[in-house]
Amino acid sequence: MKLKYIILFLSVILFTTNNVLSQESKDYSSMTKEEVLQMSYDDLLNLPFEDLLMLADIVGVSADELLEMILNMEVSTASKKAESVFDSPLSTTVITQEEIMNSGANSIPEALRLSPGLIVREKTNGVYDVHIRGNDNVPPGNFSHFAENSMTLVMIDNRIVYNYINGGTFWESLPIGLTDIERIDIIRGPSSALYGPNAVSGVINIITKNPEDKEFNAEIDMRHANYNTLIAEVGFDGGIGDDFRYRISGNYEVRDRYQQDYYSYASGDYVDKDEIMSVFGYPYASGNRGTLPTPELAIDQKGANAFLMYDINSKAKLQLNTGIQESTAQTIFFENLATPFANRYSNTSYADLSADAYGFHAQVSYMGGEQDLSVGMNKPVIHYDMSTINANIEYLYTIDDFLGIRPGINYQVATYDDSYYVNKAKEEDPTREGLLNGKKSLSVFGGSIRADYTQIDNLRIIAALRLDKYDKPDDLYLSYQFVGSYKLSDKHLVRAVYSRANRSAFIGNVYADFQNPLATAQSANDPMLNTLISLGALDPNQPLYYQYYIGNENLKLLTMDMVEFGHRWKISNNLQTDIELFYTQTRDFDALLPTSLDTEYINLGNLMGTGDVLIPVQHERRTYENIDVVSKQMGASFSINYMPTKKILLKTFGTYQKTNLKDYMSDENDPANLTDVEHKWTPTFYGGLSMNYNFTENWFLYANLYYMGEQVYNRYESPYGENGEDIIGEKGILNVKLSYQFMNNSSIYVSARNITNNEVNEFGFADQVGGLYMFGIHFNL
Amino acid sequence: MKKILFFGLLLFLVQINATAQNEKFKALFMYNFTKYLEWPEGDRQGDFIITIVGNSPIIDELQIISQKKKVGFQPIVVKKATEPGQISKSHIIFITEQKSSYIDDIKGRFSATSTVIITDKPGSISKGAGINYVVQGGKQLFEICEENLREHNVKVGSDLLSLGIKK
Repeated sequence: MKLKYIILFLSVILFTTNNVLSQESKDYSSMTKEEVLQMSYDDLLNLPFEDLLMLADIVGVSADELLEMILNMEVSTASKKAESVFDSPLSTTVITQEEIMNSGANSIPEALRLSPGLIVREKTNGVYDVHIRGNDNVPPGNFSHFAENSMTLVMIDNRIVYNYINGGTFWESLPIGLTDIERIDIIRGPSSALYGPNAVSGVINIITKNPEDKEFNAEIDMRHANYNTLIAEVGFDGGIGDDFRYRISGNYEVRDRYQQDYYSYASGDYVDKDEIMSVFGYPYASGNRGTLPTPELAIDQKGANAFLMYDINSKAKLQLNTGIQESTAQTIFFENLATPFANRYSNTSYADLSADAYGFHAQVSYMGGEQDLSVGMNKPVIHYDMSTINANIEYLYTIDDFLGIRPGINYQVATYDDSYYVNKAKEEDPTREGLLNGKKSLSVFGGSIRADYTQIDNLRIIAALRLDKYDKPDDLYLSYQFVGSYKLSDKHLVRAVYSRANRSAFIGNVYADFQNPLATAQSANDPMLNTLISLGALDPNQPLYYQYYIGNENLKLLTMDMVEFGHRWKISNNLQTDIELFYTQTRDFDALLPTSLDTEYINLGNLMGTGDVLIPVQHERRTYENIDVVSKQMGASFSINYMPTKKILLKTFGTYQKTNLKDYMSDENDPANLTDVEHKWTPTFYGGLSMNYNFTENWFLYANLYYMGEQVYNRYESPYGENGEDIIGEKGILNVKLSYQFMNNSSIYVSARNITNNEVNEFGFADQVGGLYMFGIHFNL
Repeated sequence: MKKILFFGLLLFLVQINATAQNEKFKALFMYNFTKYLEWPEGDRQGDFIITIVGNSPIIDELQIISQKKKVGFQPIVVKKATEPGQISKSHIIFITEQKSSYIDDIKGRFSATSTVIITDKPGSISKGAGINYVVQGGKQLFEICEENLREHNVKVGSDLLSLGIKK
């Protein structure tokens, strides 16, 4: 009897134990996601942490949460503090490091093709011009540097990196590489009140990586493609002690052009270097003359950077960024009358110190070095030393967490000096002339105040005012931004912006002082020589001809007004849309216009050893002047982001816009004749489409299409009758990247840019852009 | 043609509803952390206070857990705050992603207390968080920094360090 109970007792124990053991040893790894989601809280709470982690793996992160993380990145825009892109009251896009690397973009401008509202044109292999919403090449028919964007505030870590010669950005001269970037914040629309002068069409702020790990990390990225394209980047980061972190990086890039011939204005087609004739009829690039020393070169650049971060305590931190770069790019920038191409050289360094402490944010940055915008050009010599200093300080005062007031002051000074290079050029060849002929500087002192009010549920109101005192023109400019957003629900946000922003003056527009002896087509067969010295070429019956390009210290500053409405909608957990409607008016453009034509007579009899020989000399002065034209632009941008599964992310975006020029002076010789025209250099439609597909654990496919509609570029046409118009057809650029991740965050990949080899040129008279087929490797150690 | 392609894509868009489950696992993780973390003797009595800074579904999930479980013998009390000034002494302070800018302030206010700061934003460990939720490869994981935990006089077992991403 007792034995029976003992056996029964042991059986119960054994069964129970077995049951417990079988429970403990349950293979959770074989459970499906649905089975896990059906588990009760009690079951989950009683699991060992290891098993809970395994179940979390099985469930993963839901598609909607992934979408939220991927699409609604944090950005620092209107409030100047981190907020989700969905909540941003301005037209905002964030391009992340992950998206840049996934996409296979090979440069910062190419990465900008992933954002709505940006027009990105490739001039030669890897050399770009980038515009926000256009308004480029205004007025049409002017010199080629007017076609470059000079209305966007481009920054790296809030440090201004556009140049002060004309306000454009020499993208190839940015010292950082793609692997240095944490994200790129893009704000569309006038934003001077929030960001400072020149944020007319918007802001592109490139944010570099902030190393979070104290452990040592190394990153290497190398890419090789046809056209001798080689891009190499290396970076190291880590920490020393508790409070100090660093990142050291270097980058190198070399590319050949897609072709070695050049567009020649005289012949109206692409010809070899030695066949280029100037519009005057002389060989342009023979011997040492001309600006085309390396027909094959597109870009050759290198840079090195150090990012140093020190946490003084929990409320105070310092960051010092410093670096150097050297670059040569063959591009279209400054005018000559033979071919649009020239080499642009830059050798600069920078230091950028910022501090955050007890509500204050202060930043002081310096950039300086040597630039030559048209290497080898006889006239004008645009070779100078430059330095820029920017300083600003802001303080955030918060009242009960619903009102943030941020006053700030800002000072900028830019100094450009071409004396050394012009004197040196004149020593070698007395006929050469400089653009500035001395040391010139511009400065602006500004004060701003921003208020961000959030006391009423779901309603947010931001008001920003900024007053800038410029030295050229000697005037005050007020810019403002009034922004309102209202969250109808968690899924809907509507917003409105009314803003005014102005561009600053630039060295070229203010201080140009170029004297250009051209002689005449009839009397001089070589106008690159000084005709006053070439006595044999003189003809008393034909006047000598001097042209002057003169700056203007009193130019009114270009100003844009904008009204914008936007709506963001989380249609479902994995589908989100963003629509923006905008209307802008831009006025006070400037252009080089003929302002006087004088004739004087000089007596060369003594020099010629004869009696009196009176030679007429005509002096035509072209001066930077404000023009009446007003650009009126109306448009709409959309973007749709959709994540059908956790492995696929689809994005599409586009902008449809019409730009009309009111009171456009089509003929500079008939300034009273003003007409209204449609501006065709800004394409009517442009946009993109991308798919990121992670089809297995280690394989990734990224495909994207960038599209620009037809554009018509018009440049200055001299009296010699060359063609100044380039009608550029619509273009779709299809890029595909396939990568295999072989260890943690390290991968090998193949990437095809413009895979269909669509050779339509993207900028007026520029290279016929071809396909780039690339192999690359990315190591994270 | 290209315009048609852009808009044509929209025709293929199919809505798929997915249920957010991450907050549930974050709450479960948080409860499990308490098994491996050791607060000083004086903090092991009375209520075990978890304060959530900001709005988050994790509050509801923690409320469910608090009704079912204790930390040792301590009942779990979940509190909510919208700004640092509203936070009272807590064993755990969880800063939601939206309120992550408060970390410096919170760290300063509770530098002398045995408080574990848990965050939900990349980079927060370097700002002083003891534990930080991260997503890698579509998986919910957590970073953990022994040094930051010890600064607040909270000991951590090696088991927990091995389960997380050690910083």
